[in-house]
Amino acid sequence: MSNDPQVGPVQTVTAPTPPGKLKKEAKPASLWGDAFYDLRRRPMFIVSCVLIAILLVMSFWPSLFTSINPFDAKTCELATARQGPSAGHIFGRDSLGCDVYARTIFGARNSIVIGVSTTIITAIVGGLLGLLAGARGGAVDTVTSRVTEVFFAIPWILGALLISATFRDANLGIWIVVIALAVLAWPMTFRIMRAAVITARSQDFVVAARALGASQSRVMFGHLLPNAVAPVIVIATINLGGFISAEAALSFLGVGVQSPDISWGLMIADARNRFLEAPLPLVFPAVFLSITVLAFIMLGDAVRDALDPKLR
Amino acid sequence: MRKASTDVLPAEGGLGDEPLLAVENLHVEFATRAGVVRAVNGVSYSLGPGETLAVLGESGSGKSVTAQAIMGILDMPPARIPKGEIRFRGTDLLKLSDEARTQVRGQRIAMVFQDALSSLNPVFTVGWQISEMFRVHRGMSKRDAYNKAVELMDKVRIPAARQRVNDYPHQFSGGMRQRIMIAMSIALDPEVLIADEPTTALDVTVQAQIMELLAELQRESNMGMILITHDLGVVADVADKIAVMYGGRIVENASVHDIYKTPAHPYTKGLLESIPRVDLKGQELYAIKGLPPNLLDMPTGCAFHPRCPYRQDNCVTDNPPLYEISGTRSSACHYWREVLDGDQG
Amino acid sequence: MGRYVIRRLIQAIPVLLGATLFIFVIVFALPGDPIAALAGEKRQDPNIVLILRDQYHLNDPVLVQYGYYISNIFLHGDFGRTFAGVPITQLMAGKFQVTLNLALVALIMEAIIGVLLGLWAALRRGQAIDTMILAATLLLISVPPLVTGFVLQLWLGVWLKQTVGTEIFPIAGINGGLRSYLLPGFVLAGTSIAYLTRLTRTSLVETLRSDYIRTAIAKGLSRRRVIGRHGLRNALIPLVTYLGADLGTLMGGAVITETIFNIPGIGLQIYQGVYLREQPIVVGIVTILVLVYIVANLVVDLLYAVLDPRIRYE
Repeated sequence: MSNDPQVGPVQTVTAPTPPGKLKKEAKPASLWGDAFYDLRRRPMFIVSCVLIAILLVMSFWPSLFTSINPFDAKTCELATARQGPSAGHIFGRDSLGCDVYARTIFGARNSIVIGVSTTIITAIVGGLLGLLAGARGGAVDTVTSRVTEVFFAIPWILGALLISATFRDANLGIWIVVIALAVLAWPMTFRIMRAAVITARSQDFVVAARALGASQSRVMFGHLLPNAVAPVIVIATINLGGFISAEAALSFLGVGVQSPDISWGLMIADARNRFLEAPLPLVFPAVFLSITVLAFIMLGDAVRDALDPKLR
Repeated sequence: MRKASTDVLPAEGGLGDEPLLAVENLHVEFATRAGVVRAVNGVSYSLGPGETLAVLGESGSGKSVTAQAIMGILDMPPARIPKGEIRFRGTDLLKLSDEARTQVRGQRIAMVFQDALSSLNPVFTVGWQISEMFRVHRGMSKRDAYNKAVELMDKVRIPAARQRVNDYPHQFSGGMRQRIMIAMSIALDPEVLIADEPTTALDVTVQAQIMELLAELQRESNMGMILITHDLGVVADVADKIAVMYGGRIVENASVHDIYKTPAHPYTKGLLESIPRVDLKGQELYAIKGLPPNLLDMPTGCAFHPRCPYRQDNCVTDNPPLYEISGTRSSACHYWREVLDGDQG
Repeated sequence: MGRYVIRRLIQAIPVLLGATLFIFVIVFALPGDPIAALAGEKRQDPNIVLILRDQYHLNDPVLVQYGYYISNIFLHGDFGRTFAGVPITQLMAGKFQVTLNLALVALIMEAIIGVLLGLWAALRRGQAIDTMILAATLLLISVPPLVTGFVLQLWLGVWLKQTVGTEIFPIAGINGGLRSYLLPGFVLAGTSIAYLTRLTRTSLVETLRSDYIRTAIAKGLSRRRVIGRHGLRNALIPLVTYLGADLGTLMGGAVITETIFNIPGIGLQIYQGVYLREQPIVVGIVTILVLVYIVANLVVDLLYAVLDPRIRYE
C-alpha cells in the first residue's frame, strides 16, 4: 500500500502475447479461452474467487453473518470494553464495548465499495485516455503522457493523504477516499493501456482494418481495445487490492472513512492505544483486511500468469 | 550431464584414422508442453583439419541444434540427447564430465553466432570480452590480455583497433560486430570453428567480406570449420563438402561441385531451383511446395514426401536410408537415380 | 553522456513544476475559502485568517499566487509556516534525518533480502523453493504494513521479550539506536522486498535466456562466471534503478510506519499535522517528500546511464 504497486506490477505486466509459439495468431477469443482453461486449474484462482465471493456477499448482506447491528449504539456497553471473546461476541468487544465481530463484518462493505469504485473509475478514465493516446499518437499522446509523468512523480499514498486531508470536512463520506485514490492512480492504468494499444496498433490485422478504411472509432473500439484490454484487467485487479489497503491506511491516519462509519483501518486506529493489553479488537479487522487484499492480489497474479505465459 | 567416466581431454596431434570431429547417429529431442519434439534424428557427419563442411537447411531442420549439441550449449533439460556420439579427436564429448567439457568449449571448439549484436554482452567493452578468453583460460594479466585483444581485432581487420578496443558492441556496425565475434571465437586457436549463420543478419556486400575473412583465417590456422546456413549462395566459394538437412536428418551429402551440378535429393534440387539466376531471367522462379514439417507431428516414411515431386507410394511408408552413391556422395531418397537423371516421375 | 544528463535534467523541470502545481491547486486554488480549508473547523481566529491571506497572497490572481509559492520554495527554501508561525523547515530539523535513516535501513534490508531471495528463486526456477519464495512475496505484498507493523510489535517485540527476558527489538521510539530501526525498517520495506524479489527473479531469468549468455557459455566460462559476471551485471541494472527510485517511495511510506512505531520523523509529523488539523504542516512536508521523490528518480535515471552503456552513448 504505502510503497506502491506502482512499480512492481507495472513492470511485469506486458502487452498480451500469443500463448505459446505454436499458435499463429493472438485473437482475443483464443487468448481468453486459453487463459480461462489455464485459470480453472490454478488453485490460487479458485481460492481467490471463493474468498471474493464471500466478501461480496458480506458487504451487501452483512446481516446474513451477524444478528447485531453495529450502527445501533444500544448494542455497545461501555462497561464491557475490551472484553475477550464470549458466547454472543466471538471476537470480543472493542474499546467502546461494541461487538468486534459485527463491526468487522460490516467493515467489509466500505473496503469493497471503495476498492471497486476506485478501480472502475481508474480503469475508465485511465483506460479511455490511454486508448486515445495510444491510438491517436501525436499531440494528444504527448500532452497526456506529460501529464501522467507529473502524477507519477507523486507517491500516491502522500498525494491521496493530501487530497483527503484537505477535503475531509467537505462531507463527502467515503467518496473522498475514492476521489483521492483515483486522482493519483489513473495514470498507472493509462500507461499500461497506452503501451498495449501501441503494441496492438502495429499488428497486421489492425493495419489491415485501417487500410480497408475502417473508421477511427471502429479501429479503436473494435480492434485495439479488445486486444489491449487484458493487461489493463490484470493491473486493475492487483490495484484493487492496493486500493483497499490504501483505504485502510488513510482511515488509520484519520483522513479516510470517518467515525461513526465503519472501516477496518478505523477499527485498527481505535484499537491501537490499548493494543498490547487487548490485541483482539485490532487483530480481527487486520486479518480480514489482509485476507481481502490477498484475495484480489492473488486473483490478479493468477490472471496475469494465465494471460502471459512467458513469465512463468 | 554429470558423467565422469572419461575425464581425459583429447590430445592434440596425430589423428590416426579418426577425423578431427565426428558426429555419429546423433539424436536430440526437446520436452515441450505440447509433446516431445525430435529436432535431430540420427545425424552423422565428420570434419577434418582445414576442411569446411557446410550444413544447409531451413529453420527447424536441426542444423543449429546439432551445432549446439557439439558445443554443449543446449539447455538440458528441456533438451535431451538419447542416442549418438560426438567424437572430438577420438573422444566422445558426450561422455566427458562437465568440467572437461568446459575445457573443450571455446578453447578447442569455438562458435560464431548469427546475431552479433545480441550475442555480445551489451555492458562490457569489446576489448574486455575478447580479452576475457586470455584472462580466464590462459591466466594472462589484464594488460597482456588487452594487447592480445587488439592484435586479434587487427587480425580480423577492424580499423583503428587500438582506439576502439574500449568501445561497446552497440557502437560498431553490424559487419564490425561480427568481426569482433569472430575475433573472440578464434582467440585461443580452436581446432574446430562452428559458424552458425554468420552472415544472415548482414548486408550482401558485408556478407562476402565476412565469408572471405573466415576462409582466410581458416587457411592460416588449418582449423576445421562447420558453416551452418540456409543460403546456398554463401556456401559455394568456401565449402569443401555439403550436408543438406531436412526434418532433423541429413538428406544429402556431396561435394560442392556435385551438388550444384547434379543434386541427388529432390529437396536439394528444389533449393537450387529456387535461387534466382541471371541466365534464366524472365522465367518463373521455382518454389518448393508446402510447408516445412511439423516436428511434433512428422510425416510417416520420408519426411519430405508431402512436398516431393518424385513421390511414389513407398515414400509414404518407408523412411529411406542414406543411399551411398559414391565415396563422397549419399542421398536419402529412394529415387535418387531419377533425381540425378532429372526425370520427374 | 553529457547530452543525456542535460536532457534528463531539462525533462525533470516540467515534472517538478507540474507536481508542485498539483499540490498548490489541491490546497489553495479550489473553490471555497482556502483559509477555511486550511484551517479546518478549529481555527477561525480572524487575525490568523488575515495573516494567512497575506502569507499566501490570496488577493492576487491564481498564477501569481503559484509564482509566489514556487519561488518561496526554490529561492528561499520556504515550505510554509505552522499556524503558530514556525517555519516548516525548522519544524522538520532533525526529523528529516530520522526518516532518512529509517528509509535507508529499509532500503538496505530490501536490497539484501530481495536480491538474495530473487536470485535464489531464479536459479531454482520451477522447483519447490521457487514456489515457496513466490508465495512469500504474495503474502508480503498482500499484508498491509498497517497489519505487519502491529503483528511484529506483538510478536517480535512483546512476545519475544517475554520469552527471552530481554528486549531485542524495541517497539517504539528511537532510543535503542540502530536496533530501534529494525522492526519499523522491515515493516516499511515489506512490500518493496516482495516486488524486488519478483523483479530480481524475472530479470535474472530473462537475462539468462539471452544470446550473450549463450555466447559466454560457448566461450568455455564456468557456470559461476557466466551467471556471476555476465548474467548479474546485466540483471542488476533494473534492480539498482528500482532500489534508487524506492528511496523516495519509502520516505513517503514512512507515514504509516512512523505512526505505528512512534518514530519521531517527518512521517509522524505529518500524522500529527493531520490530527491537529494543521494543514500547512501536511502540505509543507508532502511537498518536500515529493521533491525528494523526484530527485531520487532523477538520480536513478543518471545512474542508469552509468550502468548501461547503451544509454550513455545514445
